[in-house]
Amino acid sequence: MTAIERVRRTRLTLAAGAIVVALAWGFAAALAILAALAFADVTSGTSQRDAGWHSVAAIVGGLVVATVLIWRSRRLTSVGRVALWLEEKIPGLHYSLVTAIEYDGVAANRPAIEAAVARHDIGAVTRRAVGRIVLPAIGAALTGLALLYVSPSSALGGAIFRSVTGKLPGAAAAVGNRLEGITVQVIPPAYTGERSTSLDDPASVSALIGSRIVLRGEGRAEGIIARAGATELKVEDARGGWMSGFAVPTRPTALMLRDRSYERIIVLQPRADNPPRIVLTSPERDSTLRAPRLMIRLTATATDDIGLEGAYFEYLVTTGSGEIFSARTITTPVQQFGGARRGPISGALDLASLNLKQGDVVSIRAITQDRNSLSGPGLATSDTRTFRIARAGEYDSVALEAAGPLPVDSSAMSQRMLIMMTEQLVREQKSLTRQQLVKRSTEIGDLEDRVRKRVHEILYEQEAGAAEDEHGAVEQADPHDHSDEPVPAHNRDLLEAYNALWEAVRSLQIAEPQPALPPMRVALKALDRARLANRMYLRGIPPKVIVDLARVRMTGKEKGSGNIRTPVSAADSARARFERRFSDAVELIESDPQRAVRAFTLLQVDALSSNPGFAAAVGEAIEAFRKGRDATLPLIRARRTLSGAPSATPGLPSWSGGP
Amino acid sequence: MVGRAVSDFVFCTGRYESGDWDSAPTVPANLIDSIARYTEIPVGPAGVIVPLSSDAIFEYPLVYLTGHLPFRFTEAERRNVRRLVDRGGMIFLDDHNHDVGGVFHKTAMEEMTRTFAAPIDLPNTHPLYGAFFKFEDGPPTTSHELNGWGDNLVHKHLKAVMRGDRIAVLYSNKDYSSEWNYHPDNKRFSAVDNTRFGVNIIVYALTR
Repeated sequence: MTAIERVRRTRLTLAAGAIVVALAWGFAAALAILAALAFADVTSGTSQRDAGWHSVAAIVGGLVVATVLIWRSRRLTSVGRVALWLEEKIPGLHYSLVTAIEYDGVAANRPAIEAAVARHDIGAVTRRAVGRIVLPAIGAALTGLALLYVSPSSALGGAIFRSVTGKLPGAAAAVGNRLEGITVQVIPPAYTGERSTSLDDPASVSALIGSRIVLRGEGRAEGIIARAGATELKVEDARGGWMSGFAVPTRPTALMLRDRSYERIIVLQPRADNPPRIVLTSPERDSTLRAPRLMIRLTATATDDIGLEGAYFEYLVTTGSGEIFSARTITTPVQQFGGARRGPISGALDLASLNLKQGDVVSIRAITQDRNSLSGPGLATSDTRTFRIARAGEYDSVALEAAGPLPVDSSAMSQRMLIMMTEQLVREQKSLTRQQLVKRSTEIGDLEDRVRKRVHEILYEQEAGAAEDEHGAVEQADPHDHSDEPVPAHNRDLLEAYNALWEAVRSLQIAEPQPALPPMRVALKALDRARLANRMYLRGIPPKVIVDLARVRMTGKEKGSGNIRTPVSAADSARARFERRFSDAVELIESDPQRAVRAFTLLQVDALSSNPGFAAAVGEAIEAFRKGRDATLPLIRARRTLSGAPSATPGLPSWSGGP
Repeated sequence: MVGRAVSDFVFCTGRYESGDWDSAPTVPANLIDSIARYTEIPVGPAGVIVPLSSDAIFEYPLVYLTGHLPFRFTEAERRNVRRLVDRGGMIFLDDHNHDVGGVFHKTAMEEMTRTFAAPIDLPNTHPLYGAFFKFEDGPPTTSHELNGWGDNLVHKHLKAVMRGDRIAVLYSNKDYSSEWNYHPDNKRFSAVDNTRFGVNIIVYALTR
């Protein structure tokens, strides 16, 4: 091997070493950058999920370092400079290599030069030199790898960092999201006697007001903030994790949990302990009696959603007249229900024992209470039944019992049957001949006419000769006249039924059963109302004073001074606010889903008490977002709940000139 | 601009099934007379009596209720008065007994609490007292209070169930039903018309 060949071989070795060194240092720099950024994120509390730019920064940094090192090795392109480098490392060459390169092929003393070069081990010197620069570079790369391994960077999982730092005091801030995988224990109030329940990772918690909620999660409590509405909750370490306990608030509230940059909202839906209900089943109606002699059977039924404590009857006896009245209250002993959800109560009242006088009024009601020992007890009273003792000679004390059902029950049944017959005829109409249709329709029409005549008899049995117009329909009374003054047809429901029956009879008798059905149904409803209207108001008619407005206005003495009138605010502004917030949240779905879910959650909390249907639909949408499902349907349902169903615009009627 | 047709104001007395709803029969005529006398509000010449359980009650912005006897709504009446108030209507409930220990007061307070919410004291600076005539000292005192009738107290405040900042139910323990229960022709014998506060109630109900 000639001296020139040795130099060229050395140059190749040096070049390879320089490339390895540049790559190793570049690699080490990239790893160091990744690790440093991961530590910086942990210190500043930035989420690791947002660290996509870390890789870019590391690659760029590594490339810069490698490029700089390669640039610094650019002298290796020159054989002369490599020869000089060797002369510097091996002084004993006495510039033999330089001479051999400069006078390549022309030197007279070439054999002597070759011999001088051959005496030295250039390869060993080169390897040592390369080793001195390559080994530190590889060491740096390995160090960078180790640093990255122990760092919280997700590039290598960050497991070592978490496993180590998780056990260190004060290192809680460096673990992952502690708000995931939480459990919620709901402990109902003691008076309910119900068991506690546990929910895993819920988006909302529905619990009875007064219940205790216990949240539990993994990791240490330090750094976790919990807030229910405006109230900050205590978070503490317990059972190897964190926990927070609080009572269910009385209003729907957003439970905000925060762990560094992580946030979670849980909707708290308080359920109220509904007040109990009690229905007085006997006596069924008020009565006016001539004498205070009656044994009244009392029965009532109480119900409650949690449990009843007891119930009793109360009698309120009112005595007096004019401006002077006195009252005394009598109660029966409380009948205990011992927490049952339903309980009957019964008793008997002898009016004679109350020492009643003429004009006295006994008001009877049943009262019950539930076992709510927190916000209650909830009380409920039944409707009141009154028994009045008539005064001798009073103008309306005719001692009439409330009227029984009107004798139109049989007509109402017939009307229902006629409707069914007409509906059947309409269904079979296509398969009938015209003659058959006319025959059956006329038969139903005749039956309907009998009903009409019967209603007419009831309607005018006391008003003989009531006015009928030329079509037979009775004129409508003034709808604004609600006074007790007699009107030509004093029973409005029967009047409506009568007019509807007229229409139905007309249609049926000309063999048009389909158009007869709507008035037949109207007549049935009106007859039902008339049948149920069995209460008669027996009090007298107050004097009706009609003010002569013109005269009054012409003789006015004082003018008064009107103040500035302020416009009335929109009756349903809450709905408009919800609509605005809903639209804003929908707009966020594309651009910022997390903010959209947060907005929907807060909207659900605010809507829970005023618009539960809307809140439920929004809750379903939130659940769909959380589980990555399509939320379109619940969002549409929420929108419709808020804005009402879309109204169809009818098309052009046939007579409007269209084809 | 074409305005929407607005019907005349018709004074409505509510008829309820318990008690004596008709104990002050000339109050409506007297207040109609005052509305005609002092304002330009189009008003019907006679009031109407409407059962609280009837849907016709929703046609009237103000419903007047009074009585001496135990006051309780039926389920239908309770449902309707709630709907009336939800629709923006107002109820004026006056204790004809003017007696806080009286049976009307106790039962009416119970019934209001059950149907709406517990009534609160209405501040004497409320806009009601300046809705038309100015009443600097709050509700005008009635002669029945001053004469020692009832509980022998002069009640400083009216009570109200509020819907936002609007009065939904105005409750009086001052017995305006007795104070205003006379034929309007007799106003000429009074130095100061004592029904002027009734004008405020009606104007408030129509404008808020």
